[in-house]
Amino acid sequence: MMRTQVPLSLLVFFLLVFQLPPVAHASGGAEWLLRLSQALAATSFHGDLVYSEGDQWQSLMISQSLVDGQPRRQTEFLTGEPRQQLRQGSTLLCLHNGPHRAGLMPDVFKGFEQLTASRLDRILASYSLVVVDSPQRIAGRSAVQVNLMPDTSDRFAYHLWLDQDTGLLLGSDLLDTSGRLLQRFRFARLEIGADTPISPSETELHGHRIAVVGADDVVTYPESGWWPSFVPSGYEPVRYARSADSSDVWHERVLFSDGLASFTLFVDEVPDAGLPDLSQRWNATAAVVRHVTDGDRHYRITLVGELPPAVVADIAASVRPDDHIAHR
Amino acid sequence: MKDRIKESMSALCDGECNELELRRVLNYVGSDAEMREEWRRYQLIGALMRDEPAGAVDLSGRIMKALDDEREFVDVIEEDQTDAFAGAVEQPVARKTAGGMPQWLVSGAVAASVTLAVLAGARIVNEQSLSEQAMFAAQQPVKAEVAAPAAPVSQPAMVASTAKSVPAVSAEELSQAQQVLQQYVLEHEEQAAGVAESDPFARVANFGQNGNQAKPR
Repeated sequence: MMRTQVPLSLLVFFLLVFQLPPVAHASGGAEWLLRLSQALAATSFHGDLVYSEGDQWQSLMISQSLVDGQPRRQTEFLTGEPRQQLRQGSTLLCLHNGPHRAGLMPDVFKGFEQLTASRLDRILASYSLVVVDSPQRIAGRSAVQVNLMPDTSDRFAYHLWLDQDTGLLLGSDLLDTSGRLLQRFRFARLEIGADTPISPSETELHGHRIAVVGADDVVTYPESGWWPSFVPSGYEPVRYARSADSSDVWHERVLFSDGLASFTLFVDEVPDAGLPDLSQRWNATAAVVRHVTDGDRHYRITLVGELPPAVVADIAASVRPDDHIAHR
Repeated sequence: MKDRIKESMSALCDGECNELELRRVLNYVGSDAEMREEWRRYQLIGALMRDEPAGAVDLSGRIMKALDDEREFVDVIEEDQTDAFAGAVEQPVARKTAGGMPQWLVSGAVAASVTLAVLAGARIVNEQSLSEQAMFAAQQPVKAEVAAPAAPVSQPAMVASTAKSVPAVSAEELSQAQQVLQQYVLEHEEQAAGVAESDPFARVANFGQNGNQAKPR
């Protein structure tokens, strides 16, 4: 039976090289993803949304304005302990009581901002994009549903709802390999094009800073180090760092991404293997910790990512010293 | 895309459809009226070919459930085989072959399960909770899979054997380990949030220190 392959990378090339057609005429899934990324970078909006992970629900208020052409986004979490976040350029400012904890400030737009051609290519290599052919409505606006169905069973699926007029993300579902809902968000009310006044917010004045990776990082390529011999197809290392602390103890971190989902491999030399091995999952995020020895040195291998737990365990189990990383 | 889905439907009728194609068909069918009608036609043809009553029963939900249960079954096999981090070297292979069975055999098992669901009414045993309990403890404080401290990487077979001995872990150790894990998760979140310009191997000069700077501890 004949199976046809759609030349999506060609489409991406033309979309990036030539002028994009009016949003209302966007039809393909790749085109809609580009519209989404552009909308997040160049649209002012203000709205309220609901966000869920598992059976936990939160409500958020998000305002985005453009400052010198760059988005400045303020998020206020209206459920649970009071907390706010401000994102502008490569800086995140967070305001809350107590220490910053994992999962404290979820980013509903994560993965869909600054979509470059190479990232989109990687997404298209791992997911099939389906534009659902039925009119939908979210927050009083006409929406287009785009499903990102993974081509392999080692990653999650995304269902997105984009504003028909601007391409802005109005809602999303993250589904596991069995179709179970892991994360969901929906705007309940949204005003697009409404510029909110720019004034120093509480977060800006008193929040603590998180530096987001900048573009001027030094590019290196490791000759050797700890490396997984198994990585699901489509995932590529996008960041690598190796450092030694004051005690000459080594730490390695590698961030892999398939364009949407990501996982980080942490390798830390530890004085001894005193802590137990662990595996844990928080809805979409799974983590595995194992301890190994190499000669007389002890290492803690940690893998954290938004992948099915069994896949995270597989990758973590395959990590070992490799003297030929650069030649892979 | 619709042509591709129709091809997959046809392949399903021919017994050539793999699990991913099948899932794609079912997802598409669930969201497109025209394709849903096409799907019903295929089911009708299939029923007539099998000399069965041609009732307008949509089996997509039943098939999807059979697929889910099959997946859980495969996961359980893998869990049995790998037991925590045992078989460190072999685990990726084990995933590909699901408990030592070749991939084609696993696909065959999936296809057989789906066929059974269609033909015999799907008597399904849901292994979901078993699998999840065995593999990961979602929303629970921690599930420690304890290997012998520091299994030698140079001897994966030893890792496999030592992983079966489970020394007692104190609540304090578990709590401490979980706190350390939380820091890793936080660092991953922060780094993943910066996935913007994804130059391969872009080195973050102070990778791992950013998070520390950021946290008002």
